Amino acid sequence: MSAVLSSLFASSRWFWRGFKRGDWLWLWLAVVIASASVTLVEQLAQTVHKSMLTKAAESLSADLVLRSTRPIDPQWRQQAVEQGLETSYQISFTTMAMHSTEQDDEFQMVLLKGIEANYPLRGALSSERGLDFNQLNADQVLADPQLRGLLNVQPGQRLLLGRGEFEIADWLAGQDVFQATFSQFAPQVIMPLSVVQDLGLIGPGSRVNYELGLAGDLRALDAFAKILEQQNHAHWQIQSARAPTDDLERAMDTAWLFLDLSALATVLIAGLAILIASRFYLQRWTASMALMRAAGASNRQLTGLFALQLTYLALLGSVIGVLIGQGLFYLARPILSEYFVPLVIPGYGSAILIGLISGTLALWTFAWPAFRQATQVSPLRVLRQAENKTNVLVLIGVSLMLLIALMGLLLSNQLLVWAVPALFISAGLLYLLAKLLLIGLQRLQPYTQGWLRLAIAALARSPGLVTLQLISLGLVIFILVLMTFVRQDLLQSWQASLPQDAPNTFVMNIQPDQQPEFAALIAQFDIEADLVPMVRGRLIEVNQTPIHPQDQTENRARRLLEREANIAVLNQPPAYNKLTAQLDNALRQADMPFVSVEAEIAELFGLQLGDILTFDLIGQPFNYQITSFREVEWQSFRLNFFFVLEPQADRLLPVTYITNFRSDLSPEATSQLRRQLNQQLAGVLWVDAREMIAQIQLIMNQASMAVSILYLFTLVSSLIVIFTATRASQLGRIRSWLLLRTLGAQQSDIVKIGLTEFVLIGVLAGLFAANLGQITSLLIGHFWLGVSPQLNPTLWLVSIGASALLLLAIGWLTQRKPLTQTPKQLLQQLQADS
Amino acid sequence: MSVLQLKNVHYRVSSADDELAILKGCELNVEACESLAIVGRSGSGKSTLLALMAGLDTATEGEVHLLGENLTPMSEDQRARLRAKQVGFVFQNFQLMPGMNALENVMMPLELFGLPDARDRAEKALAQVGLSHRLHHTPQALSGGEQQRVAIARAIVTEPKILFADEPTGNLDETTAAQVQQLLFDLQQHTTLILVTHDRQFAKLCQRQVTLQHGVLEDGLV
Repeated sequence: MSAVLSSLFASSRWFWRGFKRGDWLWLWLAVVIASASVTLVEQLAQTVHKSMLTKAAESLSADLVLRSTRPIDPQWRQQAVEQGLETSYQISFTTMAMHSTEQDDEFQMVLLKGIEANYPLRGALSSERGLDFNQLNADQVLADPQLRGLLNVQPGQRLLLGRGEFEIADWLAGQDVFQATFSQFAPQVIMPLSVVQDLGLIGPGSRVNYELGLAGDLRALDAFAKILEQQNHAHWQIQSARAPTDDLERAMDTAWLFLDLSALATVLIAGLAILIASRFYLQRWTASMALMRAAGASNRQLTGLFALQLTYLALLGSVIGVLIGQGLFYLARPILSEYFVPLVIPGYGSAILIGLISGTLALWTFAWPAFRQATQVSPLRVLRQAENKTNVLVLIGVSLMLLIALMGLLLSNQLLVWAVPALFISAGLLYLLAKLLLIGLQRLQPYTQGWLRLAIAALARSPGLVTLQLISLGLVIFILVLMTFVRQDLLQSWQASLPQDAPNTFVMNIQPDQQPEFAALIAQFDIEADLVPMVRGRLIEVNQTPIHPQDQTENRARRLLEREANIAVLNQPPAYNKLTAQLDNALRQADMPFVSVEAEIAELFGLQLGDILTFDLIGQPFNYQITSFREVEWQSFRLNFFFVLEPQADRLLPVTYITNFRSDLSPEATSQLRRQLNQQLAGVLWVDAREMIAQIQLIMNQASMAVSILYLFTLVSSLIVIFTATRASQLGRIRSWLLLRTLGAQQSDIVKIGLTEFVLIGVLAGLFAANLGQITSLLIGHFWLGVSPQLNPTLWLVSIGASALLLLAIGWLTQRKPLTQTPKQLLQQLQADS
Repeated sequence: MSVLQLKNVHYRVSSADDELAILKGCELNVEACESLAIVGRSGSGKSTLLALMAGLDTATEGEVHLLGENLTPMSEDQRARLRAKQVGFVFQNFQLMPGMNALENVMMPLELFGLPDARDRAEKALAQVGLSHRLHHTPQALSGGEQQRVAIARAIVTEPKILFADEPTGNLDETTAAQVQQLLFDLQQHTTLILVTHDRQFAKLCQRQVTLQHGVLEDGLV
């Protein structure tokens, strides 16, 4: 039989026997945890991501949409077709729809959409009775069911749009909630593109949106999107299904980051369990390998034999881990499908593969140092204690490479850049700190007596193992403390950004003389709302220098300059905006009204406090001095503005009012209110954002749940690490307890010594964690939040107290038996374990 | 026919400021199927000498020929190959794999080198040492004497030409030690046995004795 085959057989037989005996239990569990958590997170992330993409693509009706305020040159459509993409062209604009009844004519602003036969490229255009849009007659349309209440109209009845009259064939079903602009919140009416063009509603100056929808292969889409972006047309807006809305994307990005970090933390924690467990196995491996070397096995043969066993373990652990991960995902599917419709599972292959590789890599990364040390054992060890010659540089080098590979698999490159060195620097610092703490303990020992002295001596006896335990436990407790705080902050900030009572209805375009009537009308429905005066205008000059859209490099800047924006006219910025900078009163120009600018926009245009901004308001230029910058939470659904202008008696601006409020009215009451509003207050625009907010809240709840699941997972794996750590050092502990019992120590003394040892490790590990936590929070505060560094005594108390208690509890749970055994039983236990 | 030859073997260990000579010009010739006892006080270098003879370590100076092969220029892997085919070991502290049962411990070297019929051969070896009824017991369930018998079975299962034993009865009581000694000599009929011991009575059971004193080998019991 060849050497390779015999190694394969021998290693598989030995591995299986050892596995059945439970020899590999701790390492195996750690691999299972690492691979299960990565599989679950990957599958979860991919599914949620894909579901959101599909949903967003259905909302956009395409994978990519080119929107323009001017007709799109047909050459772009031609180019897209040449690149193998499907295309669909549509236009949309708001117009007034009229429904005549015997009593009255009713009017409602609608979004009229002209589409081609292949619309939508993604999703389906569905109606309540399942009509096929392409089978409709030329005078039939599909309409938003909101019109039922707003115009008192039913399918089969007719609508007047421009110079055409149309029959509502059916109500639209399952409409998009993530629309791009407020105007698109108007109820939709859909008809063929050719028909819209004949209505005579589009003329010079009409605010029409032209859209070219694209769908197809992702690479072709990316390439085409790049070509479109390079054109740099300010009137173009390119919207991809990858980012349904900016705010939601930002919130979800934070969640993904937390999920990524949780997976990484779990893998690292499982890795630490592997590191400690492998140290425990090292004694056995070394003894076995020395014996086999003496019996004639070559170094290469032994390396192969043990590497194969570790690989079997990695595979078995990873396979079970992947199964558990997928099992948990299967259990989570019904909950996910409530939040994500449609729930699109992008296949299982990639998550399974990443789970398998992660488990295997985690095992090799963290077990490698012990493995390598064991394979270097001299056969002489069977006769006497011999030093192992291990090249530390090789150990560190290989571990570093494996760790980079592992993190590369789990993190984006950007994170990887800082994560690897940060991890190594932290581990190095922790090592030094552990050494210092141990020296401190040894210095303390002469001043102690009795069981405390013996407990310290027990720790000082094996400094290597204690250092490893301190680093691992310290890191685990640090990660737990950090994740507890981050999770809490994350959930609180989500809750704060979109509270349950967030405004869900916006009303715009209220004329000054309509104010009292509007207030009275909503009061009938028990709604109160503050009206905010605003004007539409454009920024045209900064310090008397004209500012042109075409000079801007950022699309956002160009769009803002090209279009009129809503500008608030208030005596002071809204209280819910946080002022980030204010102009000294001494620098204020007399008789110059102020403007408060949103901080990101100020940065975008390079604006400074004291600058003079000129706005084009009703065709006339008006100057304002910047006196403050504000931070605005756009996702809060409050009324927020880029610019807030100070009202001036001598400046007569065409002010209209806008308001928002929370509405919990029934659909019938809402329709009734809106109809009354239409009838009594012409031109007022009502935007119902309830669906969208509900959807966002659902998604955030789902993300919170995912974060909590991962947190729980990390917690469980941390406990396993601590169990492993106590188990790993059990042999040495039992030996010293046996000696003490033999020398006449009482059982109660042993309990005191044993538990004091655990509490001491707990206190030191907690001190570790507190140090790391303090440094991390100082760094985050200084570099991220920009706040002055502060010491946090609570962090120290919580870390040290919780860690000492945790270790005491775990120590008692895991060591209760040996702590209370007779010397004879201890001896038997020692023989069984060594 | 000579199976082991030591020619002017020296072994020195160096520390930072000192060099200690453990063996000083040892000469020895061991014939096939001979039984030889190396005796000496604790710390006299007996185990070091055994390690050199078995190829577990290399001499600082001089030559060690094992079964006609000069060990001195060989690499550790070459020496390992030689040990695998020709050498068996019995240790004072038994060196059994703690998790494996008696049968698995004895099968270990056979499985390690992919030799056929591992189970049958191991069972036979265990039967030879009188442990047929303890095949599936782990070391902690066996007495010291039984553990050493398992170790002997493991040492002979590959049918080595030469068997090294390092204080094989050092951890056993008198009665058990006598049983193990008897067993070793019973099984040694077709094998060379080199044992290291400080037990002069045990040493006297061997055909020949040498004494290691002050790093030098002297014939007989000194």
